Amino acid sequence: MRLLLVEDDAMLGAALRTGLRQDGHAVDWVRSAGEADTAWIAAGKKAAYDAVVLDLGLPDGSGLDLLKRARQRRVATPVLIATARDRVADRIAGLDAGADDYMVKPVDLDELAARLRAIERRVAGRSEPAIVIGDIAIEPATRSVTQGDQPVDLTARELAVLLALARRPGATLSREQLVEALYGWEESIESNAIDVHIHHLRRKLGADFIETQRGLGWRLAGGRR
Amino acid sequence: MKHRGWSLRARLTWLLVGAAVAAWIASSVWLYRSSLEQTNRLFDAALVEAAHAVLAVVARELSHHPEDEDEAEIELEAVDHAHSESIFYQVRSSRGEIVFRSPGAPREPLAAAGSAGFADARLPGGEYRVYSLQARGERTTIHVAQPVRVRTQLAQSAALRLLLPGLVLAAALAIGAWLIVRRVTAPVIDFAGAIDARAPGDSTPVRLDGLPAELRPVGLAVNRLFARVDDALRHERTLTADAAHELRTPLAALRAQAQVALRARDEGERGEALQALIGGVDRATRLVETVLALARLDARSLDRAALPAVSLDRIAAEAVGALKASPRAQAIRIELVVPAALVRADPESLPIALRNLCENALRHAASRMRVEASTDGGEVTIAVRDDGPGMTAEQQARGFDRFYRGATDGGGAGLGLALVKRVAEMHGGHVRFAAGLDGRGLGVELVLPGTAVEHKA
Repeated sequence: MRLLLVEDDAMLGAALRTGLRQDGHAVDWVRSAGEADTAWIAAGKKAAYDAVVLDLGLPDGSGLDLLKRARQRRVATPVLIATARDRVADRIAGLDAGADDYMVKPVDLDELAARLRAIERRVAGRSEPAIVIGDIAIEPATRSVTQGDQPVDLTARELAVLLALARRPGATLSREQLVEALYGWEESIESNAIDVHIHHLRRKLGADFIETQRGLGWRLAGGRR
Repeated sequence: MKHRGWSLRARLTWLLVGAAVAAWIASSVWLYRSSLEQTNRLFDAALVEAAHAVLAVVARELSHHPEDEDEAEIELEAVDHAHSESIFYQVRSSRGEIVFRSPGAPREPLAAAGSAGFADARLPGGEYRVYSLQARGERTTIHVAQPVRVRTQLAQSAALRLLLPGLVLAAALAIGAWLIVRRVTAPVIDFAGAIDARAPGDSTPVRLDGLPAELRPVGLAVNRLFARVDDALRHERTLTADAAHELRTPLAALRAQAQVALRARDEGERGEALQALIGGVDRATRLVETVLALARLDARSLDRAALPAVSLDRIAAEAVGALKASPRAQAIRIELVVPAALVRADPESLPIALRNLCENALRHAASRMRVEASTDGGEVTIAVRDDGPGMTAEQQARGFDRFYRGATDGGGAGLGLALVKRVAEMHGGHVRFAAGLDGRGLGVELVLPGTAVEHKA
């Protein structure tokens, strides 16, 4: 998933970003409400975030206000609040302001990952944890992929490409969209990185598992079912 | 409330009753004396009258028997008087013999023969008031006398008539006084009860309406005390809440970094995470230390009259000297313009405040910072300025709040300026934002009134 992390604390932000990347997410990290507004709300539909991890106590304003503003503008990106405010009233206010989930610091990275997976399932309208396309089954929780009954060994990036494609079965994703889904702002990308990942996936899962839409991008063949 | 000490009510009641009884007794004594005086005058007049009556009878009798004046026993029935039963008389011849004596009159002469006017006689039969009269060319002396006892008894009975019902009334008075005192002191008891009945955390002001003028100052003082306690409590609560919030974030960061290290897939990633973890521990340590320093300052109250004279220039030099350890100090020019001066200040907290100001300036300075001080009419102003990005008016409005960090996160906990403010307040002074350097940056001025001692030579 491509995530926007809004956290003003330098060290916690760095740790969360690294932790989320370890889970295979592309993470953009901003440290103020203003930056978050620019990257997320102002970008409108173009904002490609699958979810926002939001801290409430920001130096230039409340995260809650930011969330309300986003919802007013019908920005539907799922939001998970991660804050030190632990009162029940705060949680209620956060959820009622439009948050999809609420976590109190200290946040366990594994729990955060699980909650993000739950958000992802909800958005995809899927209740079972595994994503199944043809004979391929992806377990996001364990980051394992099986074909038939055989485990398939994928790198983190390969899995990220596969997940990005599998999340919208049948839809064609452009190179830019895949880059967005895979890489945060600061990460350096080699120009043919996506092609390399696609090439490896085809070799491991079967050449016709990923179809090339010339000039448009790629999609999963099994997604047409 | 076990040790009640002396009771206002009991003391007032006893004083009131005591004063009334004393007044009663005093008035009885006065009445006794004045009625005695009155009786004396009246009875003296009666004595004189009786003496003349006796004289008239004696004169008549003697004129009938002028020859045997010494032997004649004369019945003086004609002598009658209102107080006759208590008035006695003797008629003495020129030789001093008692020739006439009223019934019941003492046998001893009542006064010296030949005496005249009033006299007091002490005879075996008692004390007498005597009036003597010379008649017939001093050949005959008439003594008219009355026992003093008659007079004192009269006066005593008059005084007792007042005193006796007084004893009964004194009991009634005691009850009345107690009721009055109860009524009058009820506001005091109510006031005490109102304060006593409060919940431990309740520091709302006591209601002063209905309180007597004498109690108002006490009420006001109590309310001032409550306000101070409330202030301190609220301060404490805010700090606790803020500290909880602010401590949770670095702890959350520590936990997350530790987890990142655990989940790391290679040595490089793990090393990075552990390095960040150590940085986080250092930061949390600094935060805790600052919070503790602030808490200590909060608990500390200065006796401003007893502050020692400390060397301002030395404190400033030490604060600046402490900056040298920071790597940033190499890139920033630090100017120190502090006159040699002694100020009355807390030698513990003032250096902490100054060090915080200097650290802030160094953290935000672009190329230089300056520490300056001036003394003006006893008022000491210490200013630390930098040429950094400065603070917006909005940020300045909250700049001295605890845990306010501003938009630019310099890695501090947002406590430094709050600490400086606390130190200023402890000294009865204040702290304010001022101009920075070169038309930008930030200056912070610490103003301590009445602390300058003298310029050193």
